[in-house]
Amino acid sequence: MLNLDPGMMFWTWVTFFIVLIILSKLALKPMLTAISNREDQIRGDIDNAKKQRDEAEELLNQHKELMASAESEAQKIIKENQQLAEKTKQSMIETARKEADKIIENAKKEIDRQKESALSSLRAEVADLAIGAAEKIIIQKLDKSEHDKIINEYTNSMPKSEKN
Amino acid sequence: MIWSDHAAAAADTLAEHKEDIGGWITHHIQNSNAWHPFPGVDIHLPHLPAINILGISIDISITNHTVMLFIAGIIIISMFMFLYKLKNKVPTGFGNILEMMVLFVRDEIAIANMGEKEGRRFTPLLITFFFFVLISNLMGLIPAFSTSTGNISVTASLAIITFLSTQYFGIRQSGFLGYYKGLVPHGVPWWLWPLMLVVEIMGLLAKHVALTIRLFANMIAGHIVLFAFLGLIIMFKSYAWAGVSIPFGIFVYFLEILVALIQAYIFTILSALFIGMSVNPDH
Repeated sequence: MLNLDPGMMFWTWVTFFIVLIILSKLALKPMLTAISNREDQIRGDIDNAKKQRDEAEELLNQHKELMASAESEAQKIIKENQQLAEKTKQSMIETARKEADKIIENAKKEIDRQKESALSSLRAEVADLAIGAAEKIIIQKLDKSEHDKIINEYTNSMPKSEKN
Repeated sequence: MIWSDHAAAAADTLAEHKEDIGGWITHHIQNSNAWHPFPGVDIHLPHLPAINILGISIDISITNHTVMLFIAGIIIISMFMFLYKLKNKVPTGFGNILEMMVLFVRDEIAIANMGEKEGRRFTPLLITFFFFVLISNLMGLIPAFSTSTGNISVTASLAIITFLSTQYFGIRQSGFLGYYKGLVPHGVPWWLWPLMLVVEIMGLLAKHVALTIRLFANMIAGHIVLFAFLGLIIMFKSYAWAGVSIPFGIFVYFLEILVALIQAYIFTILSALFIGMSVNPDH
């Protein structure tokens, strides 16, 4: 059982090498090439996918940054506008107040003026009346009856009170 | 008790033919000039005239195990040619299993033990080793076929292929002197060199002899155990023994499937290791 049989060994080598040559030339070479090509392709695909994902992530980040900056920009603009509106409001109120003050001032001045002119015209009237009365007194001062008469006349010429 | 009578009669028939159980087992695992696919069928294989190589006369008659080797070769080639469709980018069915095994040999055996570049270079050789040994091992488990790897001449021939590959590719890699100098470990004092060289060369031969014996003994042992279990029925002349020997026989059969795979793997990985060691002397 442990004897080496040269004929058997010869046939083993013949068979083995025929199988080796046929297999490696016809089957294994194309098969291994196809397998390694496929592996390369899969590896390439995975690399590509990874790269594309990285790119997409970067884009997403850029967009997020853009959105954030746009939002802050909008906030800034709103704030600025609010400040501007506030300022405008304040200045409008200020202007209106000044205007109103001026109008009041003018009105006061007008009133004073009117009062002054009314007073002066009243004063002139009263002076005229007094002078007229004094003229009448001076003309008719001869007797007592005359005197009374004048007084009565004068009093009668005065506007009547509501009581009488 | 007609069964036991029958068994006794069968045993008697064996005794008449002057065959004991040992002879029966030996007959089943030994090489012969005839193939017995089924009981009673004998295919006589052709006798070829002896050829002379270097003055040694070699009898190259076709034997039982030679036929098994041929069949194994045909099975391997047709497996790769007809069951693996290269056109399919994604392999299906049996092609998938085949591709898985090829990739296993390439990645786990060749590249793992020889490095990326050398591994790819020797992948076809190792795949052929793997399938040649695996199919031969498994063929012994199919009725009507026998195990050619249970013949020491076959395993020795395969181990000699590994041995010659290590020498050839090793010498081609580092030169004749460089290769044999590389056998001696670094840091050995010069006066130990002659001794170390002898020891290393003996070790080199022993590795390959071990490779031969390991595969041969593993394959033949399983078959002897299997036949011995079945032989118990004849030995004890009672069918009742079938209750013991059939379950044990089935158990050994499944064990043999495992052993066939493991031995094919071990033979290939050791070949890869030896060739890898000779082509990568620095590692």
